[in-house]
Amino acid sequence: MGTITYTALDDLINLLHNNWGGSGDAGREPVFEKSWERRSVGFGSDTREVVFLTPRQENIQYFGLYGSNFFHDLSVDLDIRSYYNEDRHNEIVKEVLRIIKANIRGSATFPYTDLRVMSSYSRSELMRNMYNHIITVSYRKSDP
Amino acid sequence: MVRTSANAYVRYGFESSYKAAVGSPTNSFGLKTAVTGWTLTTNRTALAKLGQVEPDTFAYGQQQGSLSLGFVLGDTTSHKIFQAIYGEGTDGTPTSTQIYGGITANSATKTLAGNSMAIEIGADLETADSVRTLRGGILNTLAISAAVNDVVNCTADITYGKEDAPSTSFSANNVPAEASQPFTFAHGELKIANGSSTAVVAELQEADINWTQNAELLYSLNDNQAADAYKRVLEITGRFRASWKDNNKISALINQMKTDNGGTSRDHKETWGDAHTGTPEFKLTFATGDGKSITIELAGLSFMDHAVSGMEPVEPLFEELNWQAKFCKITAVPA
Repeated sequence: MGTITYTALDDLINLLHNNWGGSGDAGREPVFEKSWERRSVGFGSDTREVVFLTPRQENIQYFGLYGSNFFHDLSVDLDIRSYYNEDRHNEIVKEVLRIIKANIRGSATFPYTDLRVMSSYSRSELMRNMYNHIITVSYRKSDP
Repeated sequence: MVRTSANAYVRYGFESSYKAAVGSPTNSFGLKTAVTGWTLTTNRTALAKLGQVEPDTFAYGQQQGSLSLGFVLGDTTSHKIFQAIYGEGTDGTPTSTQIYGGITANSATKTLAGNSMAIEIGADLETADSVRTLRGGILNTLAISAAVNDVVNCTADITYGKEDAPSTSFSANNVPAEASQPFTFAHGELKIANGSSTAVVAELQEADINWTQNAELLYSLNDNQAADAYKRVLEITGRFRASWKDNNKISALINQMKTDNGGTSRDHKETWGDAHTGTPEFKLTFATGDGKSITIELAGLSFMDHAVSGMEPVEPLFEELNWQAKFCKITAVPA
């Protein structure tokens, strides 16, 4: 009866890592990191693409009489940053979305209830030397 | 101080014979179980008297209770409620598999013997705890509803014919164990026969299934509580809404199920399965990624009506089919 905030990030990192390249044109796997593991970002990773994972709100819903069950719904931002060109950035974004869509149901390895894409938008217009895209996902699990 | 439902529980079991005591029921309906309606009546009558306008006396009649529940379909526990319709499940493979009903006639039990329910509802109240035991419960309707972006919701309407005197022996140990993960829309898949095998109904938005037993309580003289209960026609109905892709289903309705393959055969057909071979005729599956599932197979499927929605600017076009089926088989793999 804890939280899913931190295990969800581990699951997402492993899920993306294990499934990277399934589309055939995904190219080299980006670095997947929790946002707090790299305190300063920007020029430091301009030789390799990075996906930063940031947990947002964890909505915990009372899910059983007598407080017997709780259903957790965590929102996670996947902050995709690349530095080469738009085509390469597009490949990375497509591969991340492909993996998430293909794993909407949990499994024995990743025992979440479901994983859903909630929003996807580009922030590249704000950058000069970097392409940036934000994907927000919902990771749900009961009684972690 | 007011108490909330965090101080209450519901659990149930099946009676060996109608109204027989169930010592300690252990079943949970599912996740997020909620009592959405609960009424007990004695069918009181006010007797009037000549010569006055006020009621003269009250007489008390049949005791009858109704209980409405809502819950989220759980992958481990929820399948047990199908015993109330089809009798006790039989073992399948793997051994944890439970099979209820079948896709041929006479698969559903004809009586409620052994399949009536005892339900215990406990509340840890401020002054005196309340544990009420409802006996002789019959499942009138069970509905399962799956819609995009939602969990799989269920409702159950139960009528019961006997309630024991309330107890004050509340114990937290009586809260039923609920180890399920919820099924959500992401776990659902609907297939129907397509003429040779079965095909997935793609871009499915909603799917509902309802079982209505049309059961009644039976009373007798010398007792205000029900003596027994009986089943009548078992109706299995439902609907689904999906993207409108072709004329397949609307043609079935227009032709009253007669096939029109190349204009060569327009024989009378009774059901979708008669017109379109493939087994199973209808299959709704909820399956998690770790091997747990509840699969509902139907046979004798008949479409009742066809509706179109979204025919307005910027809206997607959907078709909605209401159907009724004759037979049903539920296969649960809870572990």
